[in-house]
Amino acid sequence: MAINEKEVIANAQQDPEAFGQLYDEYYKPIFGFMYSRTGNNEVAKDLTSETFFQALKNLHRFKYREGISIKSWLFAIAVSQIGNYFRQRAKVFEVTIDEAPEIIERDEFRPDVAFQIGEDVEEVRNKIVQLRRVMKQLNQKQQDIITLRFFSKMTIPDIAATMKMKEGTIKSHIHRAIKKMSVLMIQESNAIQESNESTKSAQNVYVFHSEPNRRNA
Amino acid sequence: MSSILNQIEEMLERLGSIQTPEETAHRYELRRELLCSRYFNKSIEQQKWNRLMTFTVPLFAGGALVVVFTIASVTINESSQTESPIVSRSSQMITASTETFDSKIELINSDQFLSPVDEMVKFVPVHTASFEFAQ
Repeated sequence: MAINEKEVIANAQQDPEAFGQLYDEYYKPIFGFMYSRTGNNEVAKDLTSETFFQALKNLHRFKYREGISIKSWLFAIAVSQIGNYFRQRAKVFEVTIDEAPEIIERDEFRPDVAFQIGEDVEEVRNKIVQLRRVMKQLNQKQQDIITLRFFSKMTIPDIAATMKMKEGTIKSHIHRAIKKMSVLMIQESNAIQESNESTKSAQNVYVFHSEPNRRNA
Repeated sequence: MSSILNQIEEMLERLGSIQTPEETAHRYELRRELLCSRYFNKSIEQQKWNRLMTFTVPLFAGGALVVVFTIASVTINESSQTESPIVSRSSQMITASTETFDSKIELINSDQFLSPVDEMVKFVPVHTASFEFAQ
């Protein structure tokens, strides 16, 4: 961080300009985390706003200590906001992927992603959709940790400070989450193969039954 | 299995490296809302109050100190002012008693002499000294 963080935090409680400096530094990472976690632009905007308002309200409680940076503190607020959002959403409505595929399609896949990666659009689309689908099957804590590690590019000590866990616990959570994702992906690809084979055999049966009719005709 | 784990990790890394969409309008709107929020108004009011208090508290303390000194000095002056008439009155009494026996003796209320100041006046050795010289 280029700015003198301690000084800025001390001033940010009274001085709007100092708080503005903190905001400019952390808006993008927080919004990125929210977007990666929710997959929805509008929800990410709302949650980012709520996170910064909470930060402003509780900034006087922040104590600068070794190992706990303002970044970890802000991300801790963001994680709690995400938790609240998913808890509330579970109470309000539930739309499965099968019921409304267009919701997933709209926000989770962007054509510019394929351009950035430099791969085939269809292939990237499938990968992202599959990865997102598998990630959603992890528990909330694992999803938070995976998002912080791979999407927000945070270090293990920073994640530990954010999640208020030990570094070893974070590492084991990451390992277990990736393992679970791989198992789920294998299961999913096996299911797809099986369904493909069954459709093929059904087509063969159809051909087998339809051919004598043609001969008769 | 480990190759699949690596593949997933790699895929996550690649997806994580994709930049999130820029939301410039939201960014500036939120910035303005935050910096103009009532939390800062509150703190500005508190800051004004604190500034006021930093000036007024020593002023009040100084004022109180001045008042205490004034009261103390006034009481000391009063006590010194009450001492002299008593002395003169007592000396008048003595002279009156020695010089003229005919004159009517004024009765003095003894309660007036019960204060510690009066006791001090009583022990002034003016008369005894004069008596010694006379002898």
